[in-house]
This record gives sequence, C-alpha cells and structure tokens, in this order.
Amino acid sequence: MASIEFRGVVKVYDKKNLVIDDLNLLIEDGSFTVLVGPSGCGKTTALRIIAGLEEVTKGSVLIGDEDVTKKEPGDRDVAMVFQNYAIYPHMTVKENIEFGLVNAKVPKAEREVVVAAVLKQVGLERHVDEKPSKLSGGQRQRVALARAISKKPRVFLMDEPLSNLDAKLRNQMRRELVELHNKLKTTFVFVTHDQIEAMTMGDCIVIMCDGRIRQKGAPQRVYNDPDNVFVARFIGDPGMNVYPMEGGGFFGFRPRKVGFAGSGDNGAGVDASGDDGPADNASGDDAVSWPGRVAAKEILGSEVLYCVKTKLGDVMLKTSSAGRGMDDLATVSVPRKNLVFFDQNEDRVRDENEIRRLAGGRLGA
Amino acid sequence: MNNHKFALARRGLEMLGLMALACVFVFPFFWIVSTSFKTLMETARYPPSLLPENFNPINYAAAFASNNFPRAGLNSLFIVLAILVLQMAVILPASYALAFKKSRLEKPLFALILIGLMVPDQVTFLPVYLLFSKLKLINTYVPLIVPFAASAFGIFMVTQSFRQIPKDVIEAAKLDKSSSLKTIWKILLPSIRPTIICFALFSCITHWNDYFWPFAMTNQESLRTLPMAVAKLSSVDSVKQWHVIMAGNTMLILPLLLVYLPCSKWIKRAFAYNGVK
Ligand SMILES: Nc1ncnc2c1ncn2[C@@H]1O[C@H](COP(=O)(O)OP(=O)(O)OP(=O)(O)O)[C@@H](O)[C@H]1O
Ligand SMILES: [Mg+2]
Repeated sequence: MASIEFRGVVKVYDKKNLVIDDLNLLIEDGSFTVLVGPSGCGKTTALRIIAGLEEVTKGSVLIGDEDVTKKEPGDRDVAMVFQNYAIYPHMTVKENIEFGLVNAKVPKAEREVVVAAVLKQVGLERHVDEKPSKLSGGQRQRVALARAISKKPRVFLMDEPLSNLDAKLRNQMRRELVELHNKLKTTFVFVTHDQIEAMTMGDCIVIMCDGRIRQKGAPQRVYNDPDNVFVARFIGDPGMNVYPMEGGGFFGFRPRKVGFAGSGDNGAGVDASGDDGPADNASGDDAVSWPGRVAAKEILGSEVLYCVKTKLGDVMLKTSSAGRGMDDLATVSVPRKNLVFFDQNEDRVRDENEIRRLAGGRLGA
Repeated sequence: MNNHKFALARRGLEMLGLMALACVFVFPFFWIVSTSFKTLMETARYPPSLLPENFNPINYAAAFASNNFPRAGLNSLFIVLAILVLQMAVILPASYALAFKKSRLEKPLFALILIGLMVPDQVTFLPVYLLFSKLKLINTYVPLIVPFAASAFGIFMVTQSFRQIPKDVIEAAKLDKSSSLKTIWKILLPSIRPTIICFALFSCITHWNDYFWPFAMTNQESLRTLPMAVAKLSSVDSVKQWHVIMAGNTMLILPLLLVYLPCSKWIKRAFAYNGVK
C-alpha cells in the first residue's frame, strides 16, 4: 500500500510533442483513483510513467515516500493490467502467474499456495494448466488480473482493462474490481475514457484533458460541482448543457435539472446522484424558459432523453415522462437555482454576488 | 445435388493436379534412390528400368569408401552446426535491438541489412577470399564458417517476427522483474519458435548443400565437404559410375530429409504466426 505522487512531471515525446504538462497530483494511499479524459489526453502516458515504462522528461514520481523516478519497472513494486491483457501466449495460466514470482525468487512451496489462492479468487481454478488461446476474453482478463494480484504490489495500475469485453461482462468485472479493491485495500489507479465507468468505480476521479488535470475529486463532487466547462460537459450522460452568455462567460444546467414548462416535470426529475434537486415545481419568476421543438427522443428504459432545439441551441433533457413526441412544440424551463456559471476562461464562478448578478441578467447570447 | 457433384468433381480434379505436381517434385528423388541400387549395366540400359532388378547396397559401400567420404560428411556436419550456432548468437541480439530498441539508426541499419540480402555469394567471394588469404586462414575451417555468421536473411526474418509480438507482453515481462536476456529466452523465443525452426532448416539446407563456397575457399582434401566428395565421384573415372554417384547423392540428401520431415509443420506455422490477442 502506498500513495503515488507526481511532482511537476513533464513528458515530451520526440522532443516536440508535449503530452503531459507540469502534472502535480497526489493519489492517496488505498484509494481507487480513476484517470479519465478524452482519447489522446495522456492518461496512458501518466500510468506508464508510474509503472516506469516511460521516462519522465522533467519532474519526479514518488511511490510511498520513495522517489522512484529512476527505478526500473520491476523494482517499483507495482502491477499493471494491460488493455490487451498482455499474457504470455505460450505459457499456461499457471506459468503466466508464476513467471513473476519465480523472478522475484519466491520459494516453490509458497508459489504454489499463492497461485492456488489467486486462481480461486478470480474463479479460474479449473483452467490452471490451459493455454491462453483456449480461454475466452473475460477469462484472459482474469488471468491478467490474477497475475497482478499474485505479486501483492503496493499499487495496481490498469489501463482500460475492460474495454475489450462485452457490455454485460464489463459490468460484472466492474463490480468485481470494486470488490477486489475493498478486499485488498491497495491503491488502484484505473484509466478509462468512459466517464460512466469512472463515475461508478472510482472513489476519486481525476479528469484530464490535453495533458493537464481539469478537476480531481469524488464522483459526486465532480458531477455536482464541476470546476470548469470541460468537466461539466465531460461528466454525466449526457454532459451538462452549456451555453455562452451575452456579456461573456457561460452558463449551464444538467439535463435532469431542466423540464418542460407546464407539464409539472420541469427540472423536478429525481436526480440519481442524490443532490439537492429542485423540490418545488419552479416556474414563473424563479425559472427561465426557452421555447423550442423536440428534435430527438431516445427512450432509456424508465427515462426519456429529449433533444430540444431552442434559440440557445440543442438542449438535452432527461425526464421520466414520455409525453412529448417528435417535432412537438415544447418550452424548456430551468429553475434559476439550478444554473451554474462559468467565466470567459471557462472556469467556474463560485462567488455568491457574482452568481446573483449573472443569474439575474439575460441568459443566452 | 448437382452442386454437390460439381464440388466433388472439382475436389477430385484438384487432388489430381496436386498429385501430378507432387510427382514432378518427387520423381527426381525417386530416380536417384532407384539408380543407387542398380548395377552399372542396368544404369546404362535403354529403356531404363523404373526399379532395380535386385537391390545392390554395395554401391553405398563403394561411395562411402571413396574420396574420404566419412571425413567429408563430418566436415559438413561440423560446418553446418557451427554456422547455425554463430548465426543464432548474432541474429537474436541483433533482431532484438532492431525490433525493440528505439534508435535513429534503426531504419538505415535495417535497410542496409536488406541490401545485404540481395548480394549473392558469387559477388563477395573474391574480396572475402583475398581477406582470408591475407590473414593466412585459407585452408582452415574459418573461411567456411565465419562469413556466414551474420545472416541478413535471418536477421530480417527474426526481426519481423519479433515486431509481431505485442509490445505490452514485453512490458509485462519487465514488470515481472525479467531481465532482457531472460525475456528473450523465456518470452520472445518461444513465441517465434516456428520462425526460428524455419530459419534453422533453411540455413542447414543451404550450407549442407553448398558447393560453390567451400570449393572457392579450400583446396585441401581434409577440408572437403560432402557435396564436393559426391561431385568428385563423377569425375574420377572416364565411365560415369551412375549407381555409385547416386548412392553418394542419396547419402547427401537423406540427413536433410530426416531433419526436415518432423519440422515441416513448423514451417507452415512460421508463415502464419499470430499472438494471443
Ligand atoms: N510512444 C509514443 N511516441 C510518441 N507519441 C506518443 C507515444 N505514446 C503516446 N504518444 C502521444 O501522446 C499522446 C497521449 O497518448 P496517451 O496514450 O497517453 O493517450 P490516452 O489518454 O491514453 O488516450 P486513449 O484514451 O486513446 O488511450 C497522444 O497524442 C499520442 O500521440
Ligand atoms: Mg490509453
């Protein structure tokens, strides 16, 4: 168990391609931290820097209290689960797990015990002597996981380990990984570009874009209280509706916090994230509304996702009532207290007076 | 129904074609072996007989007893194995570096090796001969072995198969505390076994059968290789001793066949390698 710390880490590929720019990040001991961000933002690079598979251009990396910047990957006491599993194709399941243990000079008797234990843990006891080519994708993933667990590392690193699995198996593995983390209490660092995966698995989310951290915090926190437009739009399914304002800056609202005027469901939908949604059917003075036309309707089981074209632009709206049809005229309405504001630099405005001033003004540019 | 018949007929035709093709390839070998058991009289008969009237293993004894045949066989064996060992010692580290170590020199070096692939022995033998004669090494085993230690073809083949191995497998090995040598030995080599076997066979066959190079580099009886000894069978007498020559040829080919047959499945795999995804 150990914390991980990036101190002023810079990574430049091929002398000109700046991938990570002055990264300062503390990943807490025992946390399940998820690095999330769009493709190409440097998540994998950050993870590989922790593992020692990639050298830093500048700065240092600490695991525990120890500076590991110059240490070999094998000496860092970390285990990694790769996206394509990276199990050794010519070795049996057992040999795959044993390879690292043999190299670490674990005595044979102890190896046997460890291998049996981890295989039981991932439910592969019956496949000990099978070659990977005989296993399904999910089983291979478990072999990779077992191999990582067997080393009892201080840190688990996972680079999109679930992206090659089908949806059902992915859900199951998500749960298993969270359980595993609860049991092992080791630091997990998990990379994904899927914000739902990030929200459901992590106890701490680090949102990255273009090699910089945009926000770090608990899933609830980054959802309810985004630091900037990027995070607001990235987190949530779909992300926040954000529009420019006349006097510069931006305002936005969650698709669940907006409703159709006059239907009694204006932004009053029960919010799954459990935060302080509007209790009253806000309308009139303390709500803002825009007339528009339903442009798309998507039924998601118990909920319906609408896309309404208004003069603001497309407004995404998530509600439990399926009353509107395509091309219906509809007015969307948001209680003013559900609005969040951002300045010209797309950073969140948190100052009460400033918010009151912005919220009172004309919305929509 | 008709379709089925058609497919059957097609399959039959295909088989027939393949068998005809096989005959074209196998017949010379058959002819060599058949002739090697005939008497001199029978080899000269017209029309020739397909099979010998009675089997005369004595031809083999005759071939074996002539021209220092056993010594030539041992020479060939030694040279082929020595070349193979040296080649592996050069090819594996070179290919590892080309495939996995990032360097600005990688591309030009690889291109240079590809060019080496295109230069035939006949072009290089003269400078090589002069070099070894300056070093006073002509008429030793050295010029028969050392010039082949670096095989452009081998480096090309092994580098290409190394490149097919997923990078993260090697990184996983690094995280498993495996040294570079251990990774080559335990992870990389087993993954490209078909390529290695295929190349080893190719190298053995090439150098076992090589006539030109030993001929150019030596003039001493004791350094003769098997193909030279066999060739010499045909030049001693004015009347060609076809039955003895063919017995010599059979003894030349037989070891290759014995090595080749059990390995043939690997050759097929060498051209269809796939890692576990
Ligand atoms: N070995 C490399 N050489 C040069 N550039 C690289 C290398 N690896 C990554 N990059 C560049 O670094 C940037 C970040 O890559 P990285 O793999 O960290 O992205 P990512 O966030 O993991 O994206 P994804 O979600 O697609 O996996 C990309 O623009 C990529 O082109
Ligand atoms: Mg990635």
